[in-house]
Amino acid sequence: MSSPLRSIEEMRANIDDHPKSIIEQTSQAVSNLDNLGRKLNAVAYVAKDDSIARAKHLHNSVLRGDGNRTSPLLGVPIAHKDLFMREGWPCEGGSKTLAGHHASQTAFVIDRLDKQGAVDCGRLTSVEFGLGTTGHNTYSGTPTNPWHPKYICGGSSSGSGAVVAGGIVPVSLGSDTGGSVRLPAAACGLVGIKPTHGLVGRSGVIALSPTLDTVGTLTRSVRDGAIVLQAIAAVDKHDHGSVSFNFPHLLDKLEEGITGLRIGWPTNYFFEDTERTVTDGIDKIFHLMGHLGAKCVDVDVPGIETANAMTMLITAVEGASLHEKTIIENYSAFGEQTLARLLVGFFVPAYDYYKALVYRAISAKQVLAETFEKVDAVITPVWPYPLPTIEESDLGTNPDAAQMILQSGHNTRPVNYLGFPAVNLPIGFDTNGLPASVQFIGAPFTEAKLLRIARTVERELNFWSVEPRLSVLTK
Amino acid sequence: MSDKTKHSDKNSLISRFSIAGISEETLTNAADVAKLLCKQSYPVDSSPLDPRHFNDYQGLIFELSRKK
Repeated sequence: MSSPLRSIEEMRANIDDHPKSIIEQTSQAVSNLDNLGRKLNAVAYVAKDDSIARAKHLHNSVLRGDGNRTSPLLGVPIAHKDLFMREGWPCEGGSKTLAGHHASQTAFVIDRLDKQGAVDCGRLTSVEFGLGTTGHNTYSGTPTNPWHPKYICGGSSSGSGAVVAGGIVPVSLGSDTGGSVRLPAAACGLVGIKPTHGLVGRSGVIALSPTLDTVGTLTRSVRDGAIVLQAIAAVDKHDHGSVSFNFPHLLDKLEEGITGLRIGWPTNYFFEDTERTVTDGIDKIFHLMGHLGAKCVDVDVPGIETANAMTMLITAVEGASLHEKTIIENYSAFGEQTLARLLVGFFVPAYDYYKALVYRAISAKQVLAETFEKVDAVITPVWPYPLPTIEESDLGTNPDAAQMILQSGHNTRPVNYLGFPAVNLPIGFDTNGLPASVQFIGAPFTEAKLLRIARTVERELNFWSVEPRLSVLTK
Repeated sequence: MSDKTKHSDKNSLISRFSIAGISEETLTNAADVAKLLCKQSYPVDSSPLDPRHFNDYQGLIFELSRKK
């Protein structure tokens, strides 16, 4: 059997040589989702019959010489967070409040991937409605990290992180309101892309905070992330925040290196309260980037100190508003932590919510003028501490975990407030032997540059030469 | 907004959700967290705040999407 850690391009090449591998790859992905994926607590739904039928249809199209034969995603098996709707498929958003619910529409991004010939194989465990950073879910289960089963996958796109790191599929979509793509990507050793606000359409994705929600990608490589982002970045007429942007071809300059690019080490906020070992690991990458030709400088990110709380405030208010009816009619169906987080939103005065929205543009303009006029990207941590275990970060059994959980989104939430793009890149291992990462943040619509930076570092580190300890799970 | 008005709003919300069955302790905790978030999110410099900025964010993103 070939390596389960094949990239999108390797899978695609396989299909060019042997068209029948569309069916074989899909069958393997479905089987692995059903077995290994369930052992990882990462699977909400396996669409066995639909995905095999779809693979056979694509195979026949290829044999007939029609279909989208130039698509880099043709015949590639994928699976997504349980917030992405496909008409007729179960979609519970990781919540008992939606138990047995089936979607009545198909998400814009799922439709985009369908048109590119990807094979959607199922839905993956999510933190309830995307509201949590550790991956804990008392209803649908808490995914275990493929690198070590005692550790969290991060959240809220926890199942997405687990199955991509586990080699079950090469890519999964997640949603990111305060770090929900980047935190699981970092926990699982993946590349996580949180695009610019408005670049990727969100219709048909269960919302948490329409002001802050974004759709992003989790992959094992920068190239795979670039391929998928290219496929999904488009105007969505059903998303009021969607913008038209003439995206460059992301693979074109991906391998051109970082000579002359300016990388900023933030002198305020981001490294505060970060554990020394985490800072040291990122410092090594910063110096490596200097050796690779980047201009490495210190930079201030003005006004960012309040953005973390602003993000939590906006999320709480909008989440409370979206779920108000269910809370009143059926509050006990919510997980205890989800309910506690949503209820906060009812107690935020309208004045403070309005102020948080108004201040967003001011803050974004300030950071653009005073930070991104000076640098092309800012380098920061993702998790501010080595990855915790499932047990030590379980607020249900360990009330002392509250501060740790609050701090988990310290480096990711402000990026959602600004609406800027960010890429998470694995750089090695933390003191517990779990993946460690950096985050590159850029100005709006600079995804091509961020991916080029990430690819240059990735090429040096070759992180995925080490495979996760999946053998632990099969015993 | 005066503290008295805020206190009254808080009580009416606690009453509203208590009727739905949610414990008073849970609701009081939520109110405390909300208060803390509002305190932490107060902009360092609020002098440039102007209602016109409300529409500025989406405008900024549109403008930047056309520039690149």
